[in-house]
Amino acid sequence: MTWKTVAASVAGTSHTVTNTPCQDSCLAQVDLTANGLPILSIFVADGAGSASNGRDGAEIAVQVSAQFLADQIKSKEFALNDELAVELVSHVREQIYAVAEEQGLLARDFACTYLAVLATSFGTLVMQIGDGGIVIDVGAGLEVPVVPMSGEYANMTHFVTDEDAISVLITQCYPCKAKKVSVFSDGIQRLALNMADNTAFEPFFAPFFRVLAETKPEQEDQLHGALLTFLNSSPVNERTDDDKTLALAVLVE
Amino acid sequence: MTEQISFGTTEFADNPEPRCPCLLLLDVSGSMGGQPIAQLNAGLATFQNELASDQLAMKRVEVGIVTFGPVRTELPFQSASAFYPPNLSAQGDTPMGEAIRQGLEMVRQRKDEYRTNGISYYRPWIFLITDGAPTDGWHSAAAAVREGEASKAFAFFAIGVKGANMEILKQISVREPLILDGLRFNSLFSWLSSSLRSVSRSTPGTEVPLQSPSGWASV
Repeated sequence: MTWKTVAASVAGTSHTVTNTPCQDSCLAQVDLTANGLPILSIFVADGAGSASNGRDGAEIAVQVSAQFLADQIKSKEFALNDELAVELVSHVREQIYAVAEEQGLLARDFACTYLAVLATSFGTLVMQIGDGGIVIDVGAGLEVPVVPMSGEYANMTHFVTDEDAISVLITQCYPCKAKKVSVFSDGIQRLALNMADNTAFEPFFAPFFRVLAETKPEQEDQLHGALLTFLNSSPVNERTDDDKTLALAVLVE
Repeated sequence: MTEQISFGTTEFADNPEPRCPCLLLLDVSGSMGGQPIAQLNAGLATFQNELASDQLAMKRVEVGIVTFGPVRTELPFQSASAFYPPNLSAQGDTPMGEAIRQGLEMVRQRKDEYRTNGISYYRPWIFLITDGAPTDGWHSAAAAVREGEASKAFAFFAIGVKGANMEILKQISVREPLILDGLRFNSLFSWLSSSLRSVSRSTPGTEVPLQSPSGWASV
């Protein structure tokens, strides 16, 4: 078994107008652990519009997470649990704080949200700080494991760089393998979730998971382009002018 | 030739737009009669026009109006798309304290309605525009404004038209009150609609700085 993945981030139309770059960053991939088991990892970070280096923050968060995981899975003791989530987030924070200090800036200049899903055949770990969302199916249909986080106001949220990030962090562990996973930034959130009751809007996801599952090996290099086409399409841009990230994975036995 | 794939999702969740409430507390006392009230009405028409030119603002901005000659809810909060500016006439004295208290209550109730309906919202803005001094008790209103600002329940701005008692406005508004330059209500409302448009498209983590009021305010 393994997962098929695709992930992409594109600048929102409001950013295109003001010529600011996309401040989202993402990564979805499958590696092998020391025991030879496939492990799925998806990381999404959305740099704060108000932070001068939000884009850098998001990129650092994603890159150091991937590196951290690559180191961790070399160990046979590796396990998906809350402790790993806290270590991962702490590591991301340390790295961002270090880069900020190097550049004579503050960590909050690198403010970004942080969402991740890690999965093996034995379990699934999700973690989230800030807005954006995660949708998974671990056997009971699509669910939203973390209630999307925002403050009282629509333009307030939490960031991995916040002092209280570890206490704001929400994690969920499932002792089962994830059949479907999607992680997305807030630009996609209102299109993909029923916000009133925090459930997945199934018709949005159904074609993605179906197409991804049915993709033949010779079509796999088309996936990224097809996702970019979707994210830049008019129906999407009519509904959001913010940066958009969508990452998807389906289990193939 | 491999078959082209595409992610043809055509269905999207239909969530309500986040709302950006703006309450106007407008002095329509006798002293506003003549040119001031005419310019204020013209300013409100400009406000409506400029919001109408922005699709997103039309969906997200909500306008409410409380006037005080006698205190009156001229317009309960409603979407900019349904906002039709009233034609105000000047009369009576200046019960500013009661107008502020009533306005703050309107904002509080609107937030409750948003929450009940799962609608996200931006921090409400309250604009007080006056050419005089309160003729009623205003100290409890001033305390409520300070409390609301401290808890970030809203942002309160005071604008004095010629003749306004700026000393009292300073005691009511935590933010420095601004003086309207002459009767430039048009420029003021043009600025306000533009500021609301910025807020209505701001994204999480973005504290929107107000644009400079140059063009209508004198310091």
